[in-house]
Amino acid sequence: MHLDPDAWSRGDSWLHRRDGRAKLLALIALLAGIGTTSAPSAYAAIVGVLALVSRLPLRGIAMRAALVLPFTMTFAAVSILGGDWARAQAVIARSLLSATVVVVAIGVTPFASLLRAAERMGAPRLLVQVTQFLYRYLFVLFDEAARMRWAAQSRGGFRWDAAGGAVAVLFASSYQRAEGIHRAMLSRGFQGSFPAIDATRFGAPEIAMTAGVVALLVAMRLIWGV
Amino acid sequence: MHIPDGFLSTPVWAALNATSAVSVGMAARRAERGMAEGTVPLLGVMGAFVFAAQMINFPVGLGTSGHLLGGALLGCTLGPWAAAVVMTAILVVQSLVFQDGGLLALGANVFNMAILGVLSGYLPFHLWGHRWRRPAVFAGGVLSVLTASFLALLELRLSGVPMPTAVVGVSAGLFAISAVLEGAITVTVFSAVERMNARWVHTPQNAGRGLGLIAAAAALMATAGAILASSFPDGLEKLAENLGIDGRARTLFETPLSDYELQSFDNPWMRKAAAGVLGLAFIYALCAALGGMISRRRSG
Repeated sequence: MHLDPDAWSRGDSWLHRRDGRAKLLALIALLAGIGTTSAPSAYAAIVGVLALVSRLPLRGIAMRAALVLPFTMTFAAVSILGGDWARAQAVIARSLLSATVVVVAIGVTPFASLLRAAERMGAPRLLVQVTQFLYRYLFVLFDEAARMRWAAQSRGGFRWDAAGGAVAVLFASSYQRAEGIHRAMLSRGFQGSFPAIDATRFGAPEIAMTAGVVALLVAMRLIWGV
Repeated sequence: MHIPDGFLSTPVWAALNATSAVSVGMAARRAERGMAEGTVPLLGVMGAFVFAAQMINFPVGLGTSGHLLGGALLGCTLGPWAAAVVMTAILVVQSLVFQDGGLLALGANVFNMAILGVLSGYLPFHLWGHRWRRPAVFAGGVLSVLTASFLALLELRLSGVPMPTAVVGVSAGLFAISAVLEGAITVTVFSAVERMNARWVHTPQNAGRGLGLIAAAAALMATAGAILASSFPDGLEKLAENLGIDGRARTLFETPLSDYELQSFDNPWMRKAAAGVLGLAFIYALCAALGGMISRRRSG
């Protein structure tokens, strides 16, 4: 068994129901705010409120956001060794808060809706479609690779050549799987684009949410200077 | 090396996001041109393949192991433009689903790994793939990792992340090891794939000698520029001063711990970052020109 990244986004909350574009805009605005401030800790309250409103498990959010810590702590350690505590704290706060915002945003938006929003906002269509297929077959191929690894481990692990062969076999089966997928899609009448499952639109709540976040960020920067 | 959010200064991430958006759009258009039917699912599944292939460990000895990173392998099998799109898709999923790399820093990571990483991983194969196949694929694997990791280091440095000489030295050593490892893995997998089905391998048109020389010179200049920029940031400051770039936008967009930076006037981050961005833009222009020549050559 493996993780199901869309388990959270199937839930329900006010944030879950908003159009993907509004959430993407608000996410980028928030990240830009955190990324350009000199006092990142001031944004902890907004991030906390978002996490509560999303009704996602808070411990889970914290654990997923903590995935950035290995990288962050390495550089924070360099700063601390150089005697620069303030910089270390700022870097940790900034990267943890940014990661938390992303985790909440992806937690309240199915990946397909997020991609669709990105496409409607001008992302290259080829990139969006490739990402869709990648995401769809990611865990299928994970399972295949995991089976190959178990098989190899049961025989005493990979030697170099065997590992190379295994990756090449995985390459070959992926290639052939893609051809099969394409034939199956054609047989079901694929016309070059995916139908949208969710029918959200950029209505009043979306405008309110985006404008509210942007207004709050501008106010924080101009009035309180954070 | 995936850079998370919170490390890059505003000019660096903003400039790299803009650069990557343009480059990925260009790569997508070039990839779509002359794309066979059924290529979209293929590209997506090959992206998933790179993810999954990272579960298969290559023993290196002393109880450690490495795994495929994939930029050069994708370039040599799918062609450089399609590979750049696939690599971008991989980075998008890594950033959003696995918190591996930031979202504001996505432009930087795409620039390092999906644009320049893939192109530099493909370049040796394009130039010498028909004659010295295995060495060219090996060199591609090495180059892709070296390019991507040194660019990441350079961007962090330009953003004012402190980097004592010891840290740079240790990272350079680690990068060199993983680069050689990636080269070896890429050539092993590539040879095995080609043995199974030669159709799965990208066939570069015969590159002219002149093009080869220009390409090699451009790659050398880009690499030398990156290394120079990272080892002599003072020189970059001079350049910025001479060009009259000043830190006027400071009040609105502050960098990590601007107070600290602003107090020490001998370390003006804005100039440094602006100069760095200029340098990156220069490298990018070189690559764009190079890419243009390669693709015109191929379609013409």
